[in-house]
Amino acid sequence: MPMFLPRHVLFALLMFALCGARGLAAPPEVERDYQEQVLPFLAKHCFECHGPKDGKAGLTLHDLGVDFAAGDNADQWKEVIDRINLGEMPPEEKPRPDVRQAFAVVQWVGRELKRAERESRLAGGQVMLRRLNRREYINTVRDLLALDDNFAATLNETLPADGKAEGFDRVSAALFVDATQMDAYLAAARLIAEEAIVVGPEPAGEKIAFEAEVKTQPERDTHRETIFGERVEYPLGVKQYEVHKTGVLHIQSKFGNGRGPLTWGRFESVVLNDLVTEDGYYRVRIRAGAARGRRGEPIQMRLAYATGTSVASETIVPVNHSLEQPGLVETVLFLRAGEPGQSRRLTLQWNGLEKVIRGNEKWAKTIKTPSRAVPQQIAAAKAAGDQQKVDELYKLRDDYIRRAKEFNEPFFAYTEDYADHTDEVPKLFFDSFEIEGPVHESWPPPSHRLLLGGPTPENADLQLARDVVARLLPRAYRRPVKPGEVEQITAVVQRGVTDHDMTFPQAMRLGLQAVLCAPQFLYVAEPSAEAEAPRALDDYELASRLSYFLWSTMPDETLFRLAEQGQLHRPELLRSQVERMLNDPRSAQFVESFAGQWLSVDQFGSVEPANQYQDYDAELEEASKQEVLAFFAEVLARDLPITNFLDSDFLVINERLARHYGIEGVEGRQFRKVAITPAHHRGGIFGMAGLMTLLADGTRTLPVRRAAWIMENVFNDPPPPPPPNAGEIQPNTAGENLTVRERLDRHRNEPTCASCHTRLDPFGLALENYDAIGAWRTHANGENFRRNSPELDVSGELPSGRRFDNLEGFKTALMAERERFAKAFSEKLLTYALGRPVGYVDRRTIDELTAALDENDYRLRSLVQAIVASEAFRTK
Amino acid sequence: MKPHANRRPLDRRSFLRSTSAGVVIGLPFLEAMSRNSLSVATAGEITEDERPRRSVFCFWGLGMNGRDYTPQETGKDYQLTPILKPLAPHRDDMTVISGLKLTHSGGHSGDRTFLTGTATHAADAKLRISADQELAEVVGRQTRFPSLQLGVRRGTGFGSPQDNTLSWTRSGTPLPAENRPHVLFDKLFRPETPEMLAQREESFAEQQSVLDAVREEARRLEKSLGKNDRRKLEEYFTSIRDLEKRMATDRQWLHKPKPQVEAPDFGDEQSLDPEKTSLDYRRYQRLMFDVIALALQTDSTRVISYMARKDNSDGTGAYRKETDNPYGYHTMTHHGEDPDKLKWWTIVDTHYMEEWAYFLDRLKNITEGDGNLLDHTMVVWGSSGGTINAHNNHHLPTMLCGGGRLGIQHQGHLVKEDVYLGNLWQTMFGVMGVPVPGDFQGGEADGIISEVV
Repeated sequence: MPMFLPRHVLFALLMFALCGARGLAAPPEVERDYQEQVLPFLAKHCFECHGPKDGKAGLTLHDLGVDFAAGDNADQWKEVIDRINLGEMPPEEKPRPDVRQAFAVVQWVGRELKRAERESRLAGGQVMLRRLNRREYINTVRDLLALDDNFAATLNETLPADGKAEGFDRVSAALFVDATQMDAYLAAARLIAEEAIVVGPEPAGEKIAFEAEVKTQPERDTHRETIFGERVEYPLGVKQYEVHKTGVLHIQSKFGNGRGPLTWGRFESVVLNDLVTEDGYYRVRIRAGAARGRRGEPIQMRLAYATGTSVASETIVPVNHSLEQPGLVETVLFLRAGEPGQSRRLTLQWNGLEKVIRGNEKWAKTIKTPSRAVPQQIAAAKAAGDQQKVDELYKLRDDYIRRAKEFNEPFFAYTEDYADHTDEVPKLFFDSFEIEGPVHESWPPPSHRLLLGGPTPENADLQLARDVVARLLPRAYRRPVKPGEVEQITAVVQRGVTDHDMTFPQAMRLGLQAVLCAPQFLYVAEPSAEAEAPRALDDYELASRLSYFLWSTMPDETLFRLAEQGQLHRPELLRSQVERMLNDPRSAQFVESFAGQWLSVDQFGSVEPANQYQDYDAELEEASKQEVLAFFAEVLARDLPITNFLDSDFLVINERLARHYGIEGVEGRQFRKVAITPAHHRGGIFGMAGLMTLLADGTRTLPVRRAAWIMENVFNDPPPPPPPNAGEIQPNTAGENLTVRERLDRHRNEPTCASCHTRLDPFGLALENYDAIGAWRTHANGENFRRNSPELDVSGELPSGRRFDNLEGFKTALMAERERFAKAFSEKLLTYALGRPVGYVDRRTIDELTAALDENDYRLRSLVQAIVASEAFRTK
Repeated sequence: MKPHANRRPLDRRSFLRSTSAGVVIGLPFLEAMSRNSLSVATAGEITEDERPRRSVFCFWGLGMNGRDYTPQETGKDYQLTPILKPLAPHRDDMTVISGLKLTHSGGHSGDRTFLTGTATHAADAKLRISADQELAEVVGRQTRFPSLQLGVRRGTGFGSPQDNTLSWTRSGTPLPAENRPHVLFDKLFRPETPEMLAQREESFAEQQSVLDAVREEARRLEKSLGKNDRRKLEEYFTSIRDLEKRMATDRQWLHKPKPQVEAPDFGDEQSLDPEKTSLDYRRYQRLMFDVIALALQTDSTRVISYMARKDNSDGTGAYRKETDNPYGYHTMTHHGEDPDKLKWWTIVDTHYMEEWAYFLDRLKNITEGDGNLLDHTMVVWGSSGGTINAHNNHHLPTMLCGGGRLGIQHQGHLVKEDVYLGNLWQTMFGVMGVPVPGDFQGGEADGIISEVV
């Protein structure tokens, strides 16, 4: 293939846009590397059997060439490297190829395979028509119709999840519409229309109310225990709650195990099956007061609804009233009805479940605990046929029963800590409870008022329908309407009235369903006539690209206004709008969507750590997801350099993560920025617990997987595909005590594998100090390592030759290669922004983006600005 | 409207009694039914050419303890291994196939590849149609339900790490699985009330109005688009066409009465839902198999996919509750040669195999023609994990059961080293009389397993 001059390249691009041709534009080095590295290797080792003279197994390699898009070239090339990787070719009796040369071929083919796949989806660089993904759809209907957030979120279950290409769910090639998808759109539109447009007056809610002292059974005066099946009864001692005339006083607690203020104790529960028959808001009023006691922690209540079901939710409310003067604790909950017949209850809990009351230790130590061993001993004696022993044990058993019956001490008492200070015990006085709903903030709801102006007569005329549609459509289609479009939808409303016997509001719902299923709504469409060359977007199209890029939703009033005035495309306005949008809370959608996918947060939780990782719990898992997003949000909000992703002198964490990371002085569930030093062994994305857990398998670390992830996500240079059936490293076998590194060394016996792994593995081995749940370690752990576990060696050398001895050194080496990361990150963000693969056609854009980063201290917003300013972003 | 008026023409009523579960099925009424809609009616009388051919794909994630599962010997006279013991009564109706492989994924995350050949969980993987759906495209039109998607967990699971379903449409959309036997039963057999029928009719009509309108809108949009975009919009038109076809079929079936079948005793339904901690696993599992048998027997469907155990974790942790097993299923599969884990793994696998034996038993106890339901149904036990400890996706534990009267020649223990799992699907397509689709399994099938046909 000839070397293109820039003008030729441009011409080629144009041809792409016109003909949808594929595979024309290839970087010049592809051909060069083929000539210099690949062809000589093939000629030396392969052509004898698979060349011009002979085509063994029907395979000739001399004519495969560099065009991976032609015929089944890609498959054949894949076969070639698989055989080389497996060591099957050249055959055994032939001279072995030089490992480095073989690897160069494998790497070249691997990159070209990836490139061919990208180019095939690239359509010459044109941004293709694509449908909204699920996130965008839900955000858009919420903003379009002023729907409630909670309701909108339920649509997640109605719509299927989206496919991804290039790592993101914004790429046309992976966003299909088929019958199943369309069926889901119809179902979603129906739900939305029923929510948005209401019929009739506000439905009356229902109420459940009770007084605590009436519902609560007084605690018994005695405590019952059993011993060998026989019941024994003791004086209760200290009560866990006391029923008073006006309410119930709860005292903490005999079950707390002293686990402290983060755990919760249940004190009441209410069945809501008959009250919550539709999704909606329900008002809860609890009259209560509390005393913090010695612990001093504010007393809170947790209202947990339908725990363990798909409609579960919970709310935490503080109790700010004193024991002496209880007051109303009021909150509004969004509760979901779930499936018919599903049992749902609201459980009332309070915090700080700690051990205030203890059981009688004498009873436990002298009677109950030792008696537990007897049945097993009896069974063992019976099995051994030792009748004498059996008889003795039966006597022992009877003795325990006798002593248990004689025992007559109070069973519960305050723990030592509180025995002399019973006035310092945390307490909760629970007076009464009331729940009522569904309640509506207003009626008709905002969506109805937005669409129809106010309550709507059942038989309004078609003129109203036309007005409503004319107001709605420009926002739904995100551009001024075209002739006939309003009439089309109005006709649907008309058919509702005439063909389906609907009232006016019902027919309006049908019309709204048609809007929500129309391709003009579902797709981000940028019309372009047949023979048109790349063209600048109009201001409305630009507004949509911006809002879906930075907010994952439709443009707001400001963007629409600027589009209407024809101002938006002006560079200085564009800049200020991007700033405004990034400062807007809606940019959290960008963080969640882009960072969530780039850093694989959407896959966190997929690895289930084994029992031996006792520190891993649901709270840590949740916090580890939040951490990544909070960190990215911090970099975005403060416009920090993207090199912070490689290493940083701060983290954004909460108490749970701080505990996991061994960082002191972080309290509470809130995430906040925390300064760290190298001694903390964290910073950047590499030490993030969620990522390290994902890139392990729950029992052990997977350095190759960690390395491959880094190559893919940090350097956008995925390793060549592994040979088929590439094994994985065996877990540590008891007794051998080999570190993963040592096992990996054994595993790399095939020289061609070794060459790739030599390049790849250091990235993963460098992170070996993070165990399978991202905890810091210096010695091997997990698996079967119990005693004498070997010390870890994390040293290595990057392909560039930079050596490192430890994690800090590794990060220093990465920092030195930050330009590579900047390029990769630019490619990722551009892919996301455009919703299409980024390929060779974009090389100048990428140069511009990395230059912008370089000039601006690598600050994140400078990259976002440069992308928005780029020609690729502003043209169809 | 009297939708039930012609539903009671039959004076003869007979019962099928299942020996194991005590499920009583009232046989429906011969003349009222189309030949194919209710084959249970003609059980014992149905002629050879009318008998439906059926395929059931069952997936058991995370493989099995191969050391106690894979027979040493090959051929019909192999020695039953500890895990295979519960299947002793069925050894002539099954072939244990060893050596099959997947290449695109596997270990403990090959659920998506199992029936698709190439789709994986990798972010960039191209999602494609699953074999059961390709089968349903051809044979599905003859039954009320073209196919059923079942699983131990509900929905698609898409977006979470492991799928809940094995089934994918042609454009790569996952189809949600059902996991409650009583809900499945209602879907299959509960008669629609006149109100529900009227409501469904009305809703079809409304949907049609919406589809008519948006098709017009799409035509308008199409005119303004460039060539590439127009090609993309073609999907939209196709989706409307396909949906209309589907709705038309659904409407026809809507007015054909459902088979009348007496419900099994579902008892406490809360404990039948694997989403709940109160799950009574064995009861759930057996009722699931009961209802599947009923679905096949009444010819309500001929294609079923069932993710009976999930990948990565079994889905419910069911057997940990029943025994004192200290390990999760995933933990046992990564045994690291720990003998205790291996011991427990075999115990649990044997439990699961007892359930499988129950299923085969059920099918066998239902008479059909001069054989039984199992003779006319190919039932596969499969997994995407070879040796999980090493994350292998080769040497997958696989069993083909039943289908004796469809032409399956069982071979005892058959070793097919390095052969695609897709070749088993291709074999089944042949038996079903369905041509092998283009780009079958994305290329991960290159022939049939000729020994069994």
